[in-house]
Amino acid sequence: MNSDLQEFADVVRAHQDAVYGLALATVRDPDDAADIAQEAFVRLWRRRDEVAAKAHRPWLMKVTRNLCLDHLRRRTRDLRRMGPHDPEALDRVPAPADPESILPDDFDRALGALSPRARSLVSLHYGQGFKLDEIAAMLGMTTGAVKVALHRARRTLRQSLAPARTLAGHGQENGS
Amino acid sequence: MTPDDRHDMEPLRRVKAPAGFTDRVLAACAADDASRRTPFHRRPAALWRAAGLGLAAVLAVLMLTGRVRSPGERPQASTAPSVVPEKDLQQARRQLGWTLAVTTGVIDRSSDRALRDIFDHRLPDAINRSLHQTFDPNRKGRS
Repeated sequence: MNSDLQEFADVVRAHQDAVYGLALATVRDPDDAADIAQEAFVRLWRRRDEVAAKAHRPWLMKVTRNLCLDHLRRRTRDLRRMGPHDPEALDRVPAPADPESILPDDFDRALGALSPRARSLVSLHYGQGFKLDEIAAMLGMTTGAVKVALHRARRTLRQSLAPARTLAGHGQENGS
Repeated sequence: MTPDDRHDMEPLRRVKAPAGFTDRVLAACAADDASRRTPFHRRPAALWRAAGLGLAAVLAVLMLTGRVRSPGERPQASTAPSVVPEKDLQQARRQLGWTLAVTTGVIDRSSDRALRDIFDHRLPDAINRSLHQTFDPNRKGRS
């Protein structure tokens, strides 16, 4: 392995969980998420001389998010070919219920109630710890728009997770 | 964000890349490097230009030496001597030399051994042989 690649291995190790986590939360399929995360790193490898080390993570996040949305768009196009035209299909892509998903089932289902864009925002903020203004700068949005989108996403998630939380509460009560 | 929300989002922070992911990425990067080392990835425009120039040179020589006849043109008598004057032949050779020099220059920059071999040796040799055969005074005429 050449020295460039050895150095790059450290970059991959430093960011792989964040990149994969974002991809998984957005596309909700472990295999697709791994492919997308890999593609993001290969693109960084090609541009390793242009992207500064401190910009690696935001750059990877932006590329990963775009790759995820492209992937879902392609899948939506395939679905459209099979069914009637639906212009809002992208935001309601039926995410595959993958038993190998490393996200807990109830959380994965709750994520499925969000649009892919909202899922990526939730992952960037709550999963990877990016601040609102960092996300806004990364994605070319206003901080207010990110805040509103996250607020709506959190409300939807809360509603989706409420039955599971209630069941868990019952389980605890029954167990005690 | 409420404590419940914070608890709800916990799975997002626990996600880990699959086992062997780093090796998989590094292998993909190495493969990407290898695929981009081919001339068509590095200088596709230069290669197409080189191929075009080479083809144009070959066609020019063939036209000048009368090996390609325009439609409707009757073949010359089998014993007729070549009608291409020596002056035109010299000019064609100069043009061919110039074209090949340009082509070789482009290919040199793209550092592709296989193509350099074709344009430096094989193609000039083939054209030289073809010219020798065409103007060989001992050769019998074409049918």
